[in-house]
Amino acid sequence: MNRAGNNVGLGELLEGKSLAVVAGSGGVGKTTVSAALGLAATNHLQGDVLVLTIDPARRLASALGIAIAGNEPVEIPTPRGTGRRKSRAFAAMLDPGPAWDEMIRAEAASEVAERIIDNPVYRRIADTFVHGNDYAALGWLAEAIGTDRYRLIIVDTPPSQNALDFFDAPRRVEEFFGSSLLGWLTGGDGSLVGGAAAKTFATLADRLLGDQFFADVVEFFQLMRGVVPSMVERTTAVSAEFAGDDAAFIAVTAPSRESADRLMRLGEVLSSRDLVIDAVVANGVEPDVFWSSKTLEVAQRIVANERSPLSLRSTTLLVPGAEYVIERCEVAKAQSRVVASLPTSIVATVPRQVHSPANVPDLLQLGELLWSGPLVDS
Amino acid sequence: MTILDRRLLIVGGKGGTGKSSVAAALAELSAFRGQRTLLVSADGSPGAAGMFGIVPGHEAVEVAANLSVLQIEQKASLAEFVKLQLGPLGAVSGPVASAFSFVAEAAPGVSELLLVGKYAEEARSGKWDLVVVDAASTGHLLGELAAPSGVGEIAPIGRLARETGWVVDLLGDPEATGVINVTLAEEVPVSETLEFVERLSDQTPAALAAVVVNRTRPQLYARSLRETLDRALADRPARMTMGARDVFDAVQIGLDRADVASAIDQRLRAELPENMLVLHVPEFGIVSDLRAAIREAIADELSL
Repeated sequence: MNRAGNNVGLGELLEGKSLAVVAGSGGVGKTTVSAALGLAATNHLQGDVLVLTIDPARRLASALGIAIAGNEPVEIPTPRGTGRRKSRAFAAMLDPGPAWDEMIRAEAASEVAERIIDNPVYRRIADTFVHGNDYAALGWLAEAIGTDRYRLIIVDTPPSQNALDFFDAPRRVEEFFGSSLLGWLTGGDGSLVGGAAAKTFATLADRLLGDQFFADVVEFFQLMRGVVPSMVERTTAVSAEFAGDDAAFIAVTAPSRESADRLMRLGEVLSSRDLVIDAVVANGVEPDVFWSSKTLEVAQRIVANERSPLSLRSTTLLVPGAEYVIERCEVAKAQSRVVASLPTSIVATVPRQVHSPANVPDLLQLGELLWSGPLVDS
Repeated sequence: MTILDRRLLIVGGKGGTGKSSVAAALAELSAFRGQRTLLVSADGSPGAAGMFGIVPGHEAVEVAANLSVLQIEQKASLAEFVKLQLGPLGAVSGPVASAFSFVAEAAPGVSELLLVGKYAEEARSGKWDLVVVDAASTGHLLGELAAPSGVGEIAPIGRLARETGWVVDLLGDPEATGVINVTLAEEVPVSETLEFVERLSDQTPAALAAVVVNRTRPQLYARSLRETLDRALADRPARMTMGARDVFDAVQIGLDRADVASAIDQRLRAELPENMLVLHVPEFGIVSDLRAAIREAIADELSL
């Protein structure tokens, strides 16, 4: 059994791409993997690299040791002498509120834009609309792509329960604002069109939500109707890029059965959108020493106190440690079965670290491992 | 009084911390004590409620003695709420219903309120002694728990606003409701837990009841064992077979992991409010029934 035997670098894949989407369920290390790949890419690609994180937990900043104030990309400070440095790496974290405002200001005449932004319903939607973050992220990504500044953009997506929501965000927004029903109910001049259905609707809304809120809703939808088509068009174009040849889709998983099963389900849903997972990163596998059958054998002999290669004293003292080693070797074995079952030809494994990477040199080292694969497996 | 003596336990935590398993284990412990218990999955996946061999739905189903499960779906909650509140007028369907759900989604906090309202309703129904909720991950959960007070601010006249008072009261009663955060003895999860705890008290009426630190290695922190292993490592022979060398290296990795985890665990305790209940669940290897192992570990920690 050999952990590294499954390990292929992602560099070859990414060299041909300008966009990489990193997805996976919460807690599997998406943000770390994205940042690490971004840093490694500067050693291998000509041209700057941008890492966009959309994760609301805002972990990238702490991992990179920089505070990112908002949506503006900030250069990741890299210590001298780390790697070959062909280009620079930038990072930015999505701040959905301002990202929405920018989108609105870009699409609407200034007076309309300000009325929208002042509308209380808008404020809440920009902050809390269920798929608002996904949509704001796409708008923001559209802008980053539009600048043509970056050789490679790495996108750290929200957790995979929502990964599809991310790709579907333009369609959802279009549905949300473009519903002909809403258009019909809210009429051209803000008054409600007659008819029993419209009356029922207004009664419902008034009773449940209050009439001021309902009036704000009506105004909001009216103002947005003029803005939505071009917003949707722009973000749909970005969403379409994900399915193109220039984009790579990288899924991150924990090396557990449950996590791998979630990844399979994600793969199935993606394929219904003509998207394929190009590579998988299995993050947190037990390190090589637990994958060797020799380790397990010796640990078992120590516990059984039989044919141990060590002195009697060492053997006796080591028993509790050897029990731990046996447990972890068994876990490694289970992990190898999970890794072998992953549905892509490119599977990079990342060993579980004693300290999670918390600074740029650590991330760069991890990134190199991901980019090139392990150099030599001793 | 143990944490199981409340009426509503809301279990949240960062993805990958084992929050669903902990929620399921707590619900089982409650059921074993003879409490009529409902386990609710409220994070959009079958989660804890899906661990008992059935696909959970919007109606409670009994899966074991004293234990029922259900999964909350927002759409169904909305329809139910409208019907409950408006009687025959609420029984709308077709275009009006779907237009209304659009607006309800736009209304700040309404979908969150309906989610919280649904499990709060179960908790006050008298049907259960305890409702355990496998809730959304940290960020979303804060939004949900803040919603009942927030909706009152934005739509103060509507019936929905009048409906929020009792929910806020229930969430805000620490005797009745407790939030449990599940975390790991690792840097990022613990930072997130500490941030969650602060925001929970600033932004929501609900109180923290306990923090569960999952996948710890208490046996490796034990001083007697440490001393033994440190002596073994200090005695490490200069020459040995490759397998023996690997075992030494592997034991060292285990001890290093335990050191890091123990330091982070201490930081967590130091920064949590004083006397906060912190439960430790060990990391298990390959076990046939992980949920049972977690359940027994929690029972030990609660001295049940």
